[in-house]
Amino acid sequence: MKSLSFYVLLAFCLVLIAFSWQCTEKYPANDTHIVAAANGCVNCHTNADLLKKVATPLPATNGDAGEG
Amino acid sequence: MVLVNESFLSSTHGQFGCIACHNGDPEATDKEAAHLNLVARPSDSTDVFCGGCHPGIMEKHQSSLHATQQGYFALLEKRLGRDVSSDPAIQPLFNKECGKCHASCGQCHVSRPISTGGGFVKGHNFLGEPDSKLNCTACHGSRVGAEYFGENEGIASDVHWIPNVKRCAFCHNAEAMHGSSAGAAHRYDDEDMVRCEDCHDNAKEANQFHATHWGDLACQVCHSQPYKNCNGCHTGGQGITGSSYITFKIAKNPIKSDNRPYKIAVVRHIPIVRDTYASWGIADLPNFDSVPTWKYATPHNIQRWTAQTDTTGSAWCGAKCHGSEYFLTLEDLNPDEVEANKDIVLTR
Repeated sequence: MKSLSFYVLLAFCLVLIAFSWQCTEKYPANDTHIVAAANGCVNCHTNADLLKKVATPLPATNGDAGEG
Repeated sequence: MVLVNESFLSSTHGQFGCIACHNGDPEATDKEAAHLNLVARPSDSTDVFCGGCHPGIMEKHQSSLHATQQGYFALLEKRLGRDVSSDPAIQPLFNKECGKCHASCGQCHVSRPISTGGGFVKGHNFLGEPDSKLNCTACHGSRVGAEYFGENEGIASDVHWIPNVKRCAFCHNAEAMHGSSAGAAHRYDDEDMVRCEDCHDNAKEANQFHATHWGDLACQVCHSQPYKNCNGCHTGGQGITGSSYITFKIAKNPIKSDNRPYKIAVVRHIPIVRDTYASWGIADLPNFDSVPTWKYATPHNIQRWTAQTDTTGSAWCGAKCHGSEYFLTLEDLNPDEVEANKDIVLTR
């Protein structure tokens, strides 16, 4: 009986997890960016907070404005 | 930080997908693997990327002064006596200091120039017309930009500058910017380079001054204001090391040609001395005296009424100009620059 309860509870949890995953999908199917969003490049390079964490700082320039 | 605006993704170029131009691995889960074989600046290889869709423009651009930077090499060759554009000892030094202003497609249409630190102009969206401030005057800034936008203290902006209306492209169209006349070694050699007369030819008989001086005086002689002259250059931090200064000088036209036929033109001091390239292993410029150190100039601070054209209270119509302090004379020259400029100076 204990074993049956365990399996019922496990099945219930799996259903909950699957449901919550579907609800948190970031890009609705009718979004025009859906193809690009699946692309790993876009996921990072449109996320300012993430980029701030991982970007390598650029070397400083001397600000010289060149020709004419 | 390469932050792409989502609006780019649905634009024409955005729909190609990132790896079409930049390579890399979109399936990777860490930064290093994702950036394997990354092409950060695709338009450095114009023929591979941009040229596929824009073959005509690409072909023109490859011969343009923006791409070849031939203007630098042509003048260095005159003063040095030999061509160093293919010299393997000079190339890396040139690329490090002067070559940063090379303009690829992306540096005009996507990002700011490398020399100013780069960065997207509009979140990776492609601009058909480069941004006057973020692109054009990012390179052409310390003289032309400051003049045009009125950033020199006490000196008005150019009459042609109307934000969002009359930008650089109003005069400097794509045809001229994407290519140069065959063999042009300087922007003023380029037959496509705009001249005032292209728009204002109907002003030839507009008044007595125009009727008298048209064709003999460059328009800027009367219609530009004082402008910045350069006195410091940056090859390894050596060479000429003075500060820039504002003045207004006219001289005999040093580059008289069918395209620039004027007898008298505005001239601007350029930052060069005999040992400017010492840090490149060029101790001296044997032909230093063969090219004036005051060069033909077209200051971008044009006004109808200037100190020259306002003759109010003058003894006679030409009193402010003829024999005036505007003349570049021998007394204005650094002693070491007399020989180089002796053919263009005026006498009062």
